[in-house]
Order: sequence, then C-alpha cells, then structure tokens
Amino acid sequence: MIINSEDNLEIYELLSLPNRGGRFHQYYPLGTYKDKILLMDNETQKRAIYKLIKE
Amino acid sequence: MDWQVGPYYLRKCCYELFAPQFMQAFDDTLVFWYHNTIFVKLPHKLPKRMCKMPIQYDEGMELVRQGNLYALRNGYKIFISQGLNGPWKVVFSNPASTGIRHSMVWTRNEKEEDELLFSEYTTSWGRHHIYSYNVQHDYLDTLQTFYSQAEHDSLGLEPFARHTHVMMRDPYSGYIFIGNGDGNDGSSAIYYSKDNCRSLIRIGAFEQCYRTLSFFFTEKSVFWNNDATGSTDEPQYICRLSKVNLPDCNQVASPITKFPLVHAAHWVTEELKLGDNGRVICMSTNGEVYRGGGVTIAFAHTE
Repeated sequence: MIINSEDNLEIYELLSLPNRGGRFHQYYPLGTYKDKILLMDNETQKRAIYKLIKE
Repeated sequence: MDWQVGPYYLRKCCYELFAPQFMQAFDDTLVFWYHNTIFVKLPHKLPKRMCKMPIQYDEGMELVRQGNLYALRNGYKIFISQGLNGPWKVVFSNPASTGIRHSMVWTRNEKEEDELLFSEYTTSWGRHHIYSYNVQHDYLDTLQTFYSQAEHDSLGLEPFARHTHVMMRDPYSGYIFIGNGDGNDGSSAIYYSKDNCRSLIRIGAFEQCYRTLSFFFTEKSVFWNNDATGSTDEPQYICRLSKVNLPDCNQVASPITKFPLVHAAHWVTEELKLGDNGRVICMSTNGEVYRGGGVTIAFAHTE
C-alpha cells in the first residue's frame, strides 16, 4: 500500500505486526543483507529474517 | 499476521532455527554473529568462523569498516581490529555511553591517518560528545560537546542536547550528519559537518521535525525520519532537504519537504537492495499504544 508518493520518494507500509502497547521500537532491525533484514522482537527477543519481495 | 497489499512485501524466511544475533553486509560479504561468534559468508561459499565476540547489547550494535580496519560498537565499548579475526582492542569504554544504531563513521585526516568518529547516547541527561580516535597514534580526542539540559537552562550554554541519536556519513558528499533530541527547546536539532566534525552547522531545531533517529541519502537530497512520540501526539514525517539548500551558518529551519506518515515514530534506517537498481530503505516503527506497530519501507528512487 502506497501511503505517500512524491517526486523521488515512495513510502510503503509493508508489514503490520501485533501491537502490544509498548513504548519503544518493538521490531528492531539488527542488520541487512541485500534484500533481507534481520528483525528482533524487542519483547520476546526472538529474531527472524525477512526477505523483501517485489511482486 | 496481516500483510499489506502492495508491489513490495516482506516474507518471513527464517525464524529461530537459524537467526543470527546481528549481521552487517559489506558489498557481497556478509558478517554475522551466531552463538557470540563472528562468521563471514562470501557468495557461494560456506560461512567461515572468525573469532569469539560475546554480544553485550545488540540494540545499538554497529560494525563499520575502512579498508581492513573494523570498528565494532558492542554495549558500552568500542573495539577496533585489523580484520575480523581480532585481536579486538578496546578504544572507548564508558558504562553511561552507548550508540543506538548509526553512531560511528570512519574518516581519514589530512595526513591520511585513520580516524574513527563516534557519537554517544546516554540516558543520564548529562553532556554528550563527539569523539575521534586516531588509529595510528592511539589517541582519543573530543571534537564536539553538547551541553546538558541543566547547563543550558541555568547557564544558557549552547549547543545542548538531551540525547545524541545518530551520526551518519553521506556517501555522496562526505558530509557528516548528526541528529539530537528530544524537546522543542532546541535540544532537538540536526547538524552537519563538512570537516569531519571539527565544526558543525545547524540545519534546524526547535521542532519535532528536527528530532530524528536516522538519515538516508540520495545524490541530491538528505532524508530523515521523525522520532516524535505518541506522548507528544506530534504528526510524523519523513523530511527531505535538497543538498543545494544546506545552510552555510546555523539556522532555525531549512526549506524541507515533509512526507506524512500514518503510523508512529520511526526508528532506525536500514538499507535493502532490491535487484540492481534503486535503493530501499526500511525503518521499523515504534509500537505506540494508539498507533500500532509495523515495518515501513521508504523507497528512494534514483535521482
């Protein structure tokens, strides 16, 4: 879903994750490699690698 | 888990079974941490174990490289090593001082000596500094001081900050950009430096749109996210400043373009590469109570 687009910037909201009502960054990026991003769930400390896909 | 429909999406491809603790890419080379050990993965080759390096605090970890020199921010310490096998030498240690995500920049001085510049984030509301560490001379210097909120309020000292959030280098201009927070009293401010932090020029301050956690860069523009929180109920933007409008002296505000965001404050900028063209920048959202959590991608076209 494009939520804003102008000139040279497009912003997509890609992934909605459960909101637990925390104050701070629940999904913290711990690094990227090409089209992959390592995210850490701040509350559970679990990590998962996500791949960016273009349809 | 709900997915937003769009031309791009994120697909979970690895969870828990093999989830590294941290990873950092340098071109095609992937450096990652697993069981507190550093591994290097080259294309089409198996990962190679380098050395043990227990992670102290993975939020705020950063690994930056210049040639064969590596600098690692791990907890409240900064390590430097020739290569990834170590030995890792501690060049800075302060239990009150960490980074968030982007807080270190490699430079070379006029004598072609390697200098690591780094900022600090503290929760003590004390002074914040920008330091340089000269590798060849094993010399730590303080380049800039941001006075504390109390020093500003009682003595009027400038510049001041509650936190230094981010320091990044624009790969196109070589300029260094610094973002401070948190209030509308001047502590939230964005600075840049043309001379490796020997002097700073303020781009803007006194508004939440100058309170940022990370930058990203294209050839002609600098972008930054906002760190305004739900508690202040400020609108959220990604801001853009054309580099032709970078000021030559301190400014209260610069001519920026604001791109509204629908969710809460954004956290750290990460760069994803999708194919050979374009750059994709990912910023994870804060999980504000009233606004929901998620992951947002800002896609900056090639200009």
